[in-house]
Parts: sequence; C-alpha cells; structure tokens
Amino acid sequence: MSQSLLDSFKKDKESLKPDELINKWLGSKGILKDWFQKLKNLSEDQRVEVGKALNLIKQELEELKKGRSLDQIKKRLTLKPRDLTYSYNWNGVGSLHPVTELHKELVEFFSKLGFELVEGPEVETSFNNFEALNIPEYHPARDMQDTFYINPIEVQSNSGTVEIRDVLRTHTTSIQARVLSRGEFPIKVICFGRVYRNETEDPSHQAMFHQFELLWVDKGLGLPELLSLIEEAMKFLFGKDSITRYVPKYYPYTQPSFGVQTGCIICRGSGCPLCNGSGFITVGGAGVVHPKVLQTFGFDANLLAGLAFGLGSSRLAIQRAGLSKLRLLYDGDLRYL
Amino acid sequence: MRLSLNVVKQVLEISSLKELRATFDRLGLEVKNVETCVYFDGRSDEIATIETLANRGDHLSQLNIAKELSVALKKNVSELPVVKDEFPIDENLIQCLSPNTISLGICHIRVSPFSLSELKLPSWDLINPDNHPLVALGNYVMKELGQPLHCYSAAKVKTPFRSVEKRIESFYALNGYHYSFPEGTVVIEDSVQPVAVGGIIGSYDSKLDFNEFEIYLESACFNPVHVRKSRLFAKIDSEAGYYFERGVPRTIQELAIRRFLKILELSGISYEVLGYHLVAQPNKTKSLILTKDLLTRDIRVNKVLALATDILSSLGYRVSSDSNQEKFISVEVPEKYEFVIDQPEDLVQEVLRFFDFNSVPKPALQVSFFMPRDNLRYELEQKLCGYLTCNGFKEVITKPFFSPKEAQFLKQLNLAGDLVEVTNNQEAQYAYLKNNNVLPVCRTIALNLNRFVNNPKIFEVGKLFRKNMALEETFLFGGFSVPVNDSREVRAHEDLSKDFLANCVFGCLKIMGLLEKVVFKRGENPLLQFGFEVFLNTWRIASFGAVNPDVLIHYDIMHPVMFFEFSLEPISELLNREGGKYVNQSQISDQPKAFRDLTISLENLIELGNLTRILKDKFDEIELIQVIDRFENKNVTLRFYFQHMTKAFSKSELDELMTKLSSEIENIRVMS
Repeated sequence: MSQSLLDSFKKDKESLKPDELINKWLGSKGILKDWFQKLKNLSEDQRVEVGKALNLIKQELEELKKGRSLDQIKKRLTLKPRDLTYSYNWNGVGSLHPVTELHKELVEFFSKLGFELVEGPEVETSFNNFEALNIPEYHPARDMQDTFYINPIEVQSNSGTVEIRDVLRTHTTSIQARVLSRGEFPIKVICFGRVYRNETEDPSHQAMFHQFELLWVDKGLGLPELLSLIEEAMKFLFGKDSITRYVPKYYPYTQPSFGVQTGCIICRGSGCPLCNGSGFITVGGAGVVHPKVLQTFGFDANLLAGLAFGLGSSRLAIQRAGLSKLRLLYDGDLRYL
Repeated sequence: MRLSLNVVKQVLEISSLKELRATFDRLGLEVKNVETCVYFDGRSDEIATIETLANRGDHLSQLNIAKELSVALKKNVSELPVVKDEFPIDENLIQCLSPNTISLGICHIRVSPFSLSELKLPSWDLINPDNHPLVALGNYVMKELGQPLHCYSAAKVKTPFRSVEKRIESFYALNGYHYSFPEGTVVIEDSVQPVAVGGIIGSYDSKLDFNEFEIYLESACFNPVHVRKSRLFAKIDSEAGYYFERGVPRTIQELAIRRFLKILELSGISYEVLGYHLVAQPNKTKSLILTKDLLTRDIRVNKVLALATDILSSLGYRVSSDSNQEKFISVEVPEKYEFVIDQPEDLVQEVLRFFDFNSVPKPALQVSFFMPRDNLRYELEQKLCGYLTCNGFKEVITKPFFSPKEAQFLKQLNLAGDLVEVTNNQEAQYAYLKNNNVLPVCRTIALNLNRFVNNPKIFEVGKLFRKNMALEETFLFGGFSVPVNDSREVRAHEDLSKDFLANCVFGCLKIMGLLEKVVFKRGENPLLQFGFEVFLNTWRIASFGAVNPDVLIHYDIMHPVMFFEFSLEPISELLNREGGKYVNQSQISDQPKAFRDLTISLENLIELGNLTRILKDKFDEIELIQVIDRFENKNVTLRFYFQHMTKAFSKSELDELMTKLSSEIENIRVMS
C-alpha cells in the first residue's frame, strides 16, 4: 500500500509543476489529508508502514514549499537594472541629527572667534588618548574612562618586544594631543566627534556618544579668559538670561579644572530629578592645560598657557531636542529624529 | 560616598547637610541627594550621597570633609575623641616592611564579647550589620577617618607579621574566591602563610569568626599605584582597595586604632591592648613654591599672595613668604594632601576651590580678527547633508559596531576577512567595527519599518574600519526603502525609486562640481544586487545600487532597499580650497598606505620634530610620521606611514625601507 502511494507521488512529481504538486498533495483537500484520515482504519502494521511513507512525502513537500516562498520573496526583492538617465525628483521633508545641528551651531559660533575646526581618528593610540594627557596607566582617573581596545600589535624596542594596543578614543581630548604634537603656537582649535566608553548600556548610558572640545594655547592667557569665553558660549547656547556657574572638578589634563553648570532647563532652578534637586546641570568641563601636558609636547609651560573646554554634546542635544533618553539619539528611530 | 550629618556634627556645629548643598558643590563635592533617616535607637540622621573626584583620596574621610567645611564656613572644628593611653610596645609583632608598604601598624586587642547593637556609633548608615561587630567598627572608622582597618583572628595567625613583595599563584580570599596576584604584590604574612594582600583583601584562613573577640588590628599605608596594579591584575573589587588606590595619608594609622578603641570605650565595652607596634618609612616633606605670576594668571585680584596664604594656612598648609619681595610663597604640604598636591598648579586649584571659581573677575572677551583655515572635509559634508535633507532624507547616527550575528553573516559571504575586533577591559570580545555601510543602513531601515515608519530615507556620516588599512575612512552613506505591493504600480514605483537614487547621487556629484568628470562602472560589491561605482580617474569616490535580497532577508526586510555612499576623504583631497575646483589627481597617490612602527632611544638624539622633518625630506615614500608611544622619556615609538605614487609596497620593500630608516637615524644620532 505504501509503495503504491510513493509511486503515485513520484509520478506526480515528474508530471506536475511544483505549485500544482503542493496543491494536489498538501492542500486543504489534498491527498495527504485524506490518507491521514484513513490511517485509523488500517491494521497496526499497515498503519506504521503507510504513516512512514506519508511523513516522508509531507516532509519533502514542506521543504519544497519553503524554498518556493523564499524564491518568491527573492523575486519580489530582486530589481532589474535600468537606464539611469531619467531624472525624477521625489521631494519630502528631511532633517539633520540633533547632535549635528548642535555641532553646526557651535562651529559657526567659534569660527567667528577665530577657532579652526580640526579632526582626528576614532581609533587612537593609547599614548594620545592617555599618557600624553597626563593619565598614567595605574591612576584611578582611568576608571572614569573604561576603554575599548583594538587587537594589539607587537613592536620591537631596545628592551625587547613591546605590545601596543590602539584604543577607541575615550574623549575628543586625544585630538588636542595631535594638535599639540604639531609643536606650533598660537593654537586656536575646536573639534568634535564620537567617543567610546565600555559602559553597560541602558537608556541613559551608551557605549558611544559625542563630545565637543576647544583648545587655545597662547601667551598671556589664564583662567579669566577661559571663563569669559565659556560665558559667551553658554549665552549663545542657552540664551542671554541663562545662569552659568563653575564647580571644582578633576581632569588629569587640566589644572585648575572645573565643571560648567547651567540652570536646569526643566525646573528652572527649583530642583527636579534631572538636576538631582540642585537646580543646575553639568554641561561640560574646562580648565587650564596641565603644564605636564604642554611639556610633553615641548612647549614652555612658563611662557604659554593653554585653555581647554569640553562639552558633552550628546546630553546637550537630547535636552535641546526634548528627548528623554540618550539611547533615542543613536537608535536611528526616525520617529524621534 | 555617603556622608553622615551625625559624624560631621562630632567636630563641627552644623544643623543640616541639605542647607549646605551649595557649599558642597562649591568645594567640588557634588551632592547627588540628601536623605533623612531614623535609626533603631531612635536617633535621626541626614545622609548625603556625594560624588568625590578621582584624585581626592582625602575626601573619602568624613573628618576631612568636616574640616574643609569648617574653612568654607569660617567655623572652628573640634578634636575627634580618641584614647590617649600609652600602648604596650611589642616589637615582635612586625618583622619587616616591604618598600611599597609606607607604614604598618598592628595592635593586639582582647575585647569582652559584645553585640553590634551595644556599640554607640554616631551613624549606623555607614556599616554593614551582617559583619562581625569588630569588623563593622573597623569599617565605621574607615569611613570616618579614611583609614582602612583590618581584623585578623588572633587564634588563626601566628606572629610576627611581615610585609613582603612577591607573586601569589592562588590566594584564598575572605570572600571565598581564589585569586592570583602578579610579581611584586605586597603580601602581609604571618610566620606561616600569607594572611592578606596589602591594601586589597585578607585571607579566608585568618578570618574572624563571630565567637572570636581577640584580634590583631592592622592599620597600614601602601603605595597607591602598587595596590591598583595588583587589584586590576586580579580583577577584584574591594572597599579598602578603593581607599588605598586614592592614597591614604601616612600619619593616621595610629590615630585610627586609637579612635577604634575610643568607640569601644564610649560604648562601655571593656578591652585590653596586649601589644602594639608601628613601623613606617621615613617621612618625606613636600615643599612647593607658589609664585605670584602663576596665581595672577588665574586669579586677577589685589593681594593674591595674601589670599592664597590665608586659604592654605586655614587648610593646614605651612606657608612662609619671601622676606619683602612678595613674589612667591613657600608652601609645605601636609601629609594628608600627599597624594593630592603634586605641583604648584594643584595649589592654585585649592585656592580657587575656597575662593570660588565664580568669584574670579572676568575680562571682556577679545574677538580675534584672525580668520581660521576652512575645514574642507567638513564643508563638503555640510553641502551634501544640506542637499540630502532637502530631498527628504533624515540624518541618523548609529554605533559603528557589528554584532556577532552580523559578523557571522559576513563570514558566510566571505566578507569578514578585514573585520576589526574590539575587546573590553577584561579582554573579552565586545563587538566588531563595521567594515561596510550596507548592513548599518539595512539595520536602521529594518528598525524603522518595524515601527511603521513609511519609506524611511536615511543618511549618516561615519567611519569604516578595515584591518590592514592604515587609516579609517569617512563616508557619507544612506539609503531608502521602496514600497512594494502586488499592484501594477509596483514596477512604476520601483523605477521611480531607481530614478530617485540616481537623482540623489547625480545631485550630490553636481553640487561637488564632479558630475561631468566622473565615470560610472558596474560595481562588484556582493552586498548590492546591481551596483554602480563612480570613478574620478582611478579613484573610486562613490557607489550606489539596490541592496542584495540576501542582505534584506537577513534583516527581515520585505521591501527593496536602495543604497549609496560617498568616500569623503578622497573627494575633499581632490577639491582644492579655492572655490572647490578640481585638482589634477595625479598629485595624489591612490595606492594603499602601509605602516611600520619603530622604537628608538632618545639618547643623543636631536629634537623629535627636526628628526621627523629630516626623515620626511630624505624619504619620499614616507607619507606621515606619528608618535604612538613614549617610554619614560627615554624611548619613543614612531609609526611611519608609507605610500608610493604608482605601486603598493611589498613586505620586503617595507623591510628594506625600515632598515634604511634605522641606519639614517643612527647617522643623525652620531652627528648630533
């Protein structure tokens, strides 16, 4: 009985098209369904034998069906090349990313003050990211910057083989190291870009975010000039009536160092969860470049002073865009961008 | 850290921490929140959660914070009560001190048994009630004074103690785990075995059981760098390690033991000191010169030296001024600031903390008439972004990582050969850096289609990272999905989509002024089902096409997706600064770059800047020289990027070049 069933299937397979075969055997009124219903009337031996044959046929047909549907999808997705000379304009409303818009405004503002925009690589040497910026290998300051490493390379040195591991830059200050290594002054540069930290990701913490930085190295500069510059920038960003205050901070590459805070844009100073009840939110950090950093690049720290100012542009961008979570900036979800 | 009002009130008269929030902020002690609590004994307390700075080990002591508050509030601070009795000295308690153990104190104490609730602690918030009462008391003193204390069971250790530096293969720690520590780790041993890893954690075999009340109380000070090195090697987190890494003053070891005993005494718990010994390295006094010039650079007020003298003296610095010149002050740094104050600039920060950054007079901002150089790549990016947004595209920014699943997919397509692996601090694989832009575009489009965004049109400016490539590349890339259904309009819509894609690419080329100069060729990118590449002579500057269905199925996208990308770096190199005119591209090599690293000794060597200049002049093949590492100012590692105008360098050619370079550097060294 099972043999005749298999023979009949083989015959149909040769004569019918795949779709017809599937329909005839696997359809809602197909042969298989009929046979499965008949099974209960057969003797036990026959039931086993026919059951095996039915399952074999069913399996083969289902695989054929699956392949057919994938082929259909591929066919639907496959486009034919055509002449590209025809012009058609498909208008719509687009937008820049909130971080790009913020950077654009900042670049415009600081360009007017004579600052040049510079760039640097995202895969950075450990030297430019840490050692050149007065962050020794075994200093607790490195805890603030959990790092992503790129596969190490081995370099021959006088004292044997040394392993050098490049990193994904943890701050845009590494670009400052590159600018300082030019060895020329005055320096008046701004830079921005992506930075990476090995953080456990949640809606408010991401492994990648953006920073904006400024470096000004010249004779006769000091903290008062830096404070004036920041005050102007804050007025530009948050409006003329905005309140800015400065609190001591620690950054290994600057001393004195301070954090820049502005009146909370949500509670207007009365205290809310965003500002931890203080009425102020930290938007960036700044300071006078540490003499050790200047000396590393051959500058006379007694003659010159460097002013550095950095903004956490991702946080600033979410506030300006009215978003609640940092993750929304980097998900690519167009409903929020 | 958590700061208790009751603890501060022992030495300083204040009524609330909440009211002092602004003062805390001004001192660099950012208050996260302040909560009120009532303890089981009916007393109330206020606890402030404060974020301390990475360099301020001194701020881990509540007493030190109270002293700083007293200076800021101009109030007197009283002495913390401690026992004053003479201890019986037992020199057999400590046998030797390792170089990285700055001081080690051991006190042998027998205490009459008591329960935790019998202790009269000012704040119960600072301890873990599950600990042995003596361990809990030690932890309380650590929070109060910033000095970690460790209790060894007197029954389980055999004196004398000694601190040595060695490697430990397997250390059975208090927390029940085994750890290994590197060569040079400070180990505290009794006469039989290691009983603690200095500054990190004690051994399980010396642990104090709940029925034991005879202890050896250890109060020590270790080299912070050493503690951190060992702790990171063993990947172990410990509270004591957190304190020691940030620096514990070398002079408070005995004070901490005396305070420990005083709390027992105040609680009415009897104890007996059976022996005490403290061994310490000689004291080093740090003296710094703070000049008027440095101060006036940052604080332009009258009598700035007097201001600095006032503030520093009230903080406990010994300040002496130069006779009558008033050009500098000489400042002797107290031991508690040993690990905080290193340079005169650190003193300026201290003065500013108490003077207040907000009080620094600010001059009017001088606007420079110097026009900065334009950044061509950025300008180009802006132009293209502007054009695309005008055509309905929205900019996105996505992370440049590929998940293991995406990497696996690329492996199936034989496109994973140049993927760059990213590891985290624990050297575990985190992700791969993206080596193509097609997958990120599809991933973002899939996400938006799943959230019912119709026909998402996106673009992004980002980098590609490829193994063996000298530099990362910046691209402007994007794409959009084509709506499909089974009606007759499908083909028309598909055609229009292709037109739209071509239109966007042509538009971008047009605004760059390159449309008439480029050549279109059929692309061979396997991720695109029909792709075109745009060439400017031999430079491939762009590519576009429809995404391969295999890629779309991988992301469960049921709509065709169009893709385009522009390589921004070669384009911006090809456009010169005068109005974005086309430059003869033969000036720029399109051959691949290669790099080699070389470490050289700086001994007898001319200045690094001059060296690189000479080498660049001598070797045409050098495209760029970069400093990538420095070793204690003795050696420097340089990365040489090589690029030829007409060919790619072979391995042997690079080796030959490096040999020539090395001998050239040696010649320069001999001549200098």
